[in-house]
Amino acid sequence: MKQLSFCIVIMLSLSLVLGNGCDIAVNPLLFNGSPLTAEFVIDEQQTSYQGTDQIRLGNLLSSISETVDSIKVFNITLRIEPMTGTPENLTVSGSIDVDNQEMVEMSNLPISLYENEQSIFDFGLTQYLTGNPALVPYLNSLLAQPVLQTITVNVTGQASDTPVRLRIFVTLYTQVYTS
Amino acid sequence: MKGYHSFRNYLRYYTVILLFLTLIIPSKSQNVLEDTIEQLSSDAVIGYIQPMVDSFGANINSGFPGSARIHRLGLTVRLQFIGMATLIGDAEKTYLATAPLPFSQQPVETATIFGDQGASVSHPAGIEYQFQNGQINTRYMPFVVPQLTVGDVFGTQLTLRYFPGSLVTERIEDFPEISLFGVGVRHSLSQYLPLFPVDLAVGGFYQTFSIGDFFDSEATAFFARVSKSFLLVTVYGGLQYETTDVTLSYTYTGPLPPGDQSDRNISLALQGENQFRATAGAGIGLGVLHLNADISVGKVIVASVGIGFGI
Repeated sequence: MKQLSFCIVIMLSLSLVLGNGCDIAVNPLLFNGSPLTAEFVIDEQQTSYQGTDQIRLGNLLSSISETVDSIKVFNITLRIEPMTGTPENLTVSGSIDVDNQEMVEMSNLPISLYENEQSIFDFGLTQYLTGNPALVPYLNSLLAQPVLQTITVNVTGQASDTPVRLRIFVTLYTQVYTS
Repeated sequence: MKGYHSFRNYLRYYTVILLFLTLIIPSKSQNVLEDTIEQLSSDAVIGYIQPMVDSFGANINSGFPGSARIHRLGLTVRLQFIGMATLIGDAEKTYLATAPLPFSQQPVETATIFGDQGASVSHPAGIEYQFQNGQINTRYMPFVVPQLTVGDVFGTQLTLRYFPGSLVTERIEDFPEISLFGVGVRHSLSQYLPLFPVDLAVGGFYQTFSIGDFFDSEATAFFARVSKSFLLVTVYGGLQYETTDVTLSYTYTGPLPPGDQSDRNISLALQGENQFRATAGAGIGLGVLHLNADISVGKVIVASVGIGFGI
């Protein structure tokens, strides 16, 4: 029994000595917030279109249990999915607004360019899309509030042809800084 | 009967504490690792986690019995506790990573899991992306295993490593199931060379180690040992070839690149980069107590110490 105790004490000491110099979780973890998507279903027989959706900003924290220090937007994407009957070469013009602040202005944008999700900050496509530089600070200020609000996203504009049968997705990506 | 029960409880109590402390580093690391890498895509996680895989591989392939002196026929029964530590230098603290689109695709130097703050990149549109912060601040990565060596038959010894992981998970809530099994043999070459001035042996070792469903690994080592004994002291050295294969299985919770519909369940295979090492060490035998220490130099540097009891 004494030998066993001695043996265990030695082993414990070894573990403690080795583990002593190893500090774990020394920096805050960064998390990606759950992507938040506004979805618009457009089904128009005329060239003008309009849609509204709401995003609850609080949902971005749905999978995060740590104490949040701050949240920042790091990407906003757009995806336009044509539905049956929509002309292949359809272009759209108009704007997407967040709480009546312009997020992006579209100018004869071929919907085929955004069939796959693309960042609105992709400067290779600026002839079709112009972002509002004030939007990111606005969204970050909303994300800095103690209680995360619901934002309203509007899409409105004109298409080049009919029918206009589209599903439009605007997705907000965030990084969550924990403390 | 009462004495038997109290002895059994005593043994259980200490066993749980022992295993808890022995395993606290990998288990705590697992929680941090899981939280951290679930945010990382498979491309990003490799550089971030590679130094930990290297240190783990170097550790688990350390601490095999040092002396090459194995009798043709004799009795060896020795229980050892081996503590290993891989040194973590500046090279293990940073790696090159690429931010997601729409940020520049130029790689930037950022923190590995052993590093400090993750690098930040900014975009002309006013958005910013920060890479994950380092999570472990240490100058060495420790590991502890128990090891039992028995022999000698035809100049051969068998060595086992084993953790009964269920002993911990049954008693400590939320503790991930950890299991270790290792088996190795060493065979004396000296028995065929009677007048050779030093002892020679060759051997191999195979191990598996897992933490929950998240971390699964296999390690293999082949080594040659030379040793010389002087009264109570034995000095030894050797060369070793080794491999470590680690599989990390997790569900990626971060955003996918635009348009990417990839499966979020990631099973990532990583290899330890340490493949060759040279080892030098010494041991002392004081009756049933055996102490040894050695250092191995390869891509990384590993030190190990052993405390053993037996004959």
